[in-house]
Amino acid sequence: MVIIQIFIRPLSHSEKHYRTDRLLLPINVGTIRMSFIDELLDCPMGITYLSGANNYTWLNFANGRKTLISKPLRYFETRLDQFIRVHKTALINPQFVRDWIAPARSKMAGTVRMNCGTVLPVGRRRWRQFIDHVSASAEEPVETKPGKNDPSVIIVTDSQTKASWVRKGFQSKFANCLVNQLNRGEVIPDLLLSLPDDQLPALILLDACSSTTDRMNTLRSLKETPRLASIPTLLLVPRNTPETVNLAYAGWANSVVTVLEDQAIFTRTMAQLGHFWFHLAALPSRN
Amino acid sequence: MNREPSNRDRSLRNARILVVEDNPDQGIVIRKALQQTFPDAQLVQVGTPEQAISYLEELKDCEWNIPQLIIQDLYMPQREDGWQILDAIRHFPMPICTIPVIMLSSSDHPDDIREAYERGSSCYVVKPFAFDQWLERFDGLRQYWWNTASLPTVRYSF
Repeated sequence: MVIIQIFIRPLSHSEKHYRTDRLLLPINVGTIRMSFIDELLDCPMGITYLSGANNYTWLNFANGRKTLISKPLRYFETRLDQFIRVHKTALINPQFVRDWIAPARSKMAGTVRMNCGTVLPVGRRRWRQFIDHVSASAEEPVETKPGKNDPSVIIVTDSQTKASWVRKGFQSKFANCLVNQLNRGEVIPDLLLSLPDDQLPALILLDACSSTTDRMNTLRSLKETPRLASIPTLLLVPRNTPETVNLAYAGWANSVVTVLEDQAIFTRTMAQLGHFWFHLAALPSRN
Repeated sequence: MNREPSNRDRSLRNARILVVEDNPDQGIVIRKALQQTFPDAQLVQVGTPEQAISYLEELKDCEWNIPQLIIQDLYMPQREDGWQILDAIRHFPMPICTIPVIMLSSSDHPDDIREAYERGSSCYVVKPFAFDQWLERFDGLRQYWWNTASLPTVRYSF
């Protein structure tokens, strides 16, 4: 008899919920309770990739959790027809692909990098199928039905590039997250006060890498306005600026984050922000 | 290659976390969870707002003990007790007023959450039920406050 320890975590609050119990299941290999796996597969959008070996498969979720299932990878391949079998050991969700490196020559292996940073091999015989699939799906927009409860983020920055990185980072975790860019912070309090409660942003990011004075003034205005003070407001600062960090916290910034001018790192930091503020922390509700 | 900036650069080996929790059982759970998820930190636990305020007042003379993070309960036993400690922290002189305060409460009432943010708590986390959920949540707190966010400089001695 084999004891499999399975951690079931809830998917993000916008997806289907699962009971969060740690199950110790004494099982005979091959006779695992079918409804449990069917539940997982019923809502596969939270699965980023599956990796397997020796009739066991690790399911990796977008929220960082992993689940071990006593089934081979091909079991999931047949049931998750949107996923791509890129390698003997890997089955990936194309929605969570960040980028890839083509093989140096045809008939060699390539690699694919997922949003979470994991790099997986793409077998040489599977490369053509993989590239056709991701190229085609790159043209289809990620489904983003705007809903009442979609989180929205405001980024105050002069840089369109950074705003796009913010969008990419947050949407890698929350496809329906709206990210709006504003160039100047001084307009924000009046702008937000004119909005109904349910259209207020869930998070405000102030890019203090430039126009630091404008951002600090914006922070102060927001925290002095009762209706807006409860919106978590974060300052993004460059490296080695401890004075700005201290001033921001003294000004009631909910958090300060040091950012680099590197797309991959910046985007990953944004994804981490999204995970913390939308998944772990409780935010004021807007109803 | 650009290295991601993190608080590791400033050595969190001597980090200190102040916990304000009036319920002894929950205090034990919090302590156990922190010991596992923040093994490098020293934990200071107090049971009342008065004890927390006294502790912070005494720190004016020994800044090397100033905590990097404060985790406080809201209902101790009334929410006014939680507001009292939060208001006091935010009105201390620098650097104590800059310490991030995590409101950790069983309450998920929207009014409590909103008011906590309005009064200056850095973030609000709802207490989970099972211990492994506590571990997951505290691990998430560590990932964010130790690795993603930048903390204020509260100690100048080293």
